[in-house]
Amino acid sequence: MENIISITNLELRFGQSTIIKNFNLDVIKGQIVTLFGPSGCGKSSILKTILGMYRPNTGAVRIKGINAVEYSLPLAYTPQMNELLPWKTVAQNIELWNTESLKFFDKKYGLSKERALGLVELEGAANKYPRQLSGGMERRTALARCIATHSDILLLDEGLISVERRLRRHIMNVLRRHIKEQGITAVCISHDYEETIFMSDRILLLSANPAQIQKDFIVDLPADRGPEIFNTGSFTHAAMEIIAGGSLG
Amino acid sequence: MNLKSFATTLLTMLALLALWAGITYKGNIPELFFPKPQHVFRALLNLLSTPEFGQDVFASFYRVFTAFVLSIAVSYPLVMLTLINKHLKKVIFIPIEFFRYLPITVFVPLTILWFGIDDSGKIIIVFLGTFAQMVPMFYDSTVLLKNQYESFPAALKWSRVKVVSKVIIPGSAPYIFDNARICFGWAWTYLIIAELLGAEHGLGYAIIRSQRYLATDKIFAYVIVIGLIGLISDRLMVFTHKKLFNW
Repeated sequence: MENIISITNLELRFGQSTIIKNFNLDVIKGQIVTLFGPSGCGKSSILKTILGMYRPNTGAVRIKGINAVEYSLPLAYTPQMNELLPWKTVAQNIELWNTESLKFFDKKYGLSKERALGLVELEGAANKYPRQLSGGMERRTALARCIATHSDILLLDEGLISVERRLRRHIMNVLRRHIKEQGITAVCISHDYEETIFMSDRILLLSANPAQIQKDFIVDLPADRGPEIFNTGSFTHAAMEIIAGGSLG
Repeated sequence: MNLKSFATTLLTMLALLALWAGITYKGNIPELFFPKPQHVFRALLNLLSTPEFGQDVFASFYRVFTAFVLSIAVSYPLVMLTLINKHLKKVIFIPIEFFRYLPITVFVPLTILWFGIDDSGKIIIVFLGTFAQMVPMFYDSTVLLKNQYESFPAALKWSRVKVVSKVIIPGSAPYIFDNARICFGWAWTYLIIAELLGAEHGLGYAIIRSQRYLATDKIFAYVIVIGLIGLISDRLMVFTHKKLFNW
């Protein structure tokens, strides 16, 4: 299978402190990989090197064989701080990333603005400005913007954080199906083991700073998943793997 | 302005007026040093009926407004250019920092020497004073945005020019407007200094003219006029800010 994202011997330093050391990861086309580890271990920094925001001090980060800093196609992304434009409405924020990314691809990878709004249950807030939203609604807008972005690579930095449990399960369900149908390659970051197991094909348990892979395992669940999966033995087994890995938190 | 804040403002003004009246009526201070409110208000009413008053107000307004617009027209594009090309920042900021710490009065003799006492010298003085403050203030307003929306160039692969035009220009507009409002107040201060030191018309010059005739009540009247112009223009700018940036 074709490697879409390839990280080799990555080392990332900020001043005197080493954030990532000797980190390796290959993500194949259509795979959903979740980085699961304690806060501050450097998970977001790994995503930012894939985005080309950080240059590695040592090693290489490549997307489809191209240096990540030079990669010129859009990437669907949920930044940790949402980064919604306050002078644009919820719908306009989503539309901006949707239309800007469409120019680069023949295929429509992202959901339409309307479907993305519907998925996160924000149809009623489409014409509101970010200052009029609650923290959870802001997060859902950033998530909808990411899902509406046309890209064959999706990076979710705690994309479902602060989304209520009922809605989170629904979004996870639709999002995973969408990623699989479109053949999108995804790297996610999460602190929630339910989200991690449901969404992922593969989970990397990371140690505390500097992030090192403690465990790398394939989730033994069917590719086509629904809410019934939460009550299966395989789900519990995957949860036990995470707990045994000691990366909760 | 709601009723409560209007009442607070009115009460504050009345308290200041009462304090002024109390000092001048009971304090046994000679009228030449500190005139009574009624004399100042009479002088103010007399001023309003003279043709010189209109000329002075117009001359000052013309100078301050021209210099202010000129400052924005130069500093705003310069700041945007520093965001597109980071090497330009050092080239632009070092001379501006040098200028910023110079008292504006040091340029007055030079501008009189180069431009005489006509409008251009005053406009240059106000321009130099406000421009040197505007550049770092505008820069701070924009750089905040640049750091806040760092994922836009990374995820959408936008160029610096596109980030500046689509994110920084619209996003920084309220902060730029607010900082321009502060600079407008400083522009008035510089103008009055420039006019005090040499002019044919203008509110600063009018104060000097009144001083020559020991007309302290007129000096007070002009001070009130300058303060009122500042207050009204500031409130107008606050109102416009609310209307323009209601998001």
